[in-house]
Amino acid sequence: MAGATATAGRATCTYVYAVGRASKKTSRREGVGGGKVEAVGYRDLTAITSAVPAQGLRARRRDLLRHAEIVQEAFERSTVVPLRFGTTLADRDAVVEELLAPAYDQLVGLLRRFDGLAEVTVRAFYREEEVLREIVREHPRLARLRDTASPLELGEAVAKALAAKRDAAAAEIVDTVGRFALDVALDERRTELEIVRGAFLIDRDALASVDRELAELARAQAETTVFKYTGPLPPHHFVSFAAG
Amino acid sequence: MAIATQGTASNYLQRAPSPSGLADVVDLILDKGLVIDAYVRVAVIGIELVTIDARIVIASVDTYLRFAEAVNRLDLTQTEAAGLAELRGDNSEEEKAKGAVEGAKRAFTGGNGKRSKSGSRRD
Repeated sequence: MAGATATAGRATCTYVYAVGRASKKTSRREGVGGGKVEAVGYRDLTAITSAVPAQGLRARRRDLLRHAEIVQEAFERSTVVPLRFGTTLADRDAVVEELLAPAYDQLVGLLRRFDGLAEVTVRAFYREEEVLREIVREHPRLARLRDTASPLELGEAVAKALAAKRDAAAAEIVDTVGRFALDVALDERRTELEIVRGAFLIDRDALASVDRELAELARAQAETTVFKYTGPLPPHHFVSFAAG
Repeated sequence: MAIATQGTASNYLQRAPSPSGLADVVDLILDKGLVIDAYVRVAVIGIELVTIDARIVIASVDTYLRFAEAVNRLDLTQTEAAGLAELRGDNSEEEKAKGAVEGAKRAFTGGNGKRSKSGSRRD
């Protein structure tokens, strides 16, 4: 395929961060690998790009942060379609010929869809000791099992009670924010103590309402639960050509 | 304009304007974002590795034993107020998750950029 073969023997490739509408402004930040951030235009679209070495590009900490900051900065100026980390084409011409031109209608459609919208991410997780204390209070049987059951039986009963509590709490959070969301994307939970990890696509005008509702939830559950709430972010979780 | 008697809900949750650390950034850009075509995405060494290693999987037996131990440690006569001082700052799960992701990052980008073998963190 063209994209794969065209990179052979080149010194540099063109890394693409995001696509937005035509804009003369480019970032003064260093790009992934240290290159200068440049715009590549086609009709009324602009790809935010930088040159990267053709060989040996690695997902280093600094580069991951640079990618995120450049996309975030562009998003703060106007609507963008964020691309996945590592998206690299042979050169600037290939950005037009393999991305902007063939996907023009889809990209314009995505930009129109995300106008005025933003992603917020919500994570909530339990403080272990506090939630276990609450669970034992809610299920007196567990306190009795401390004396009568094996550690494995006790632990399994605790884990079951925790899972039920956690699922109910997750549903409450998703319902609360989901009422304001046009779309919801829940990520896989990573620990038993994690209640929810997800992204919500919301109208920017709804941001204050989401702030208020989530803060209310956080207050009600402050004893056992830590919330982490971030946004407004580019719609990382919600861009795909299929959905566009 | 804080009203101390009522307390406002916003005291309990501040929205961060952008991801605050590498773990959060990884979540957003490594396996999210538009994929234009599999073939144009030049292989970036280490990407698949970090997404796999960032998943923290805890075997259920270990979990059961950990919970049992934690519940056995609870002093059930303790009043709720007594626990308040300990509430602050115990972000142990959060820290663990961050540590794991950054550990994974170090594992494959560490030193002079040598590629680490997949599974090097599976011990």
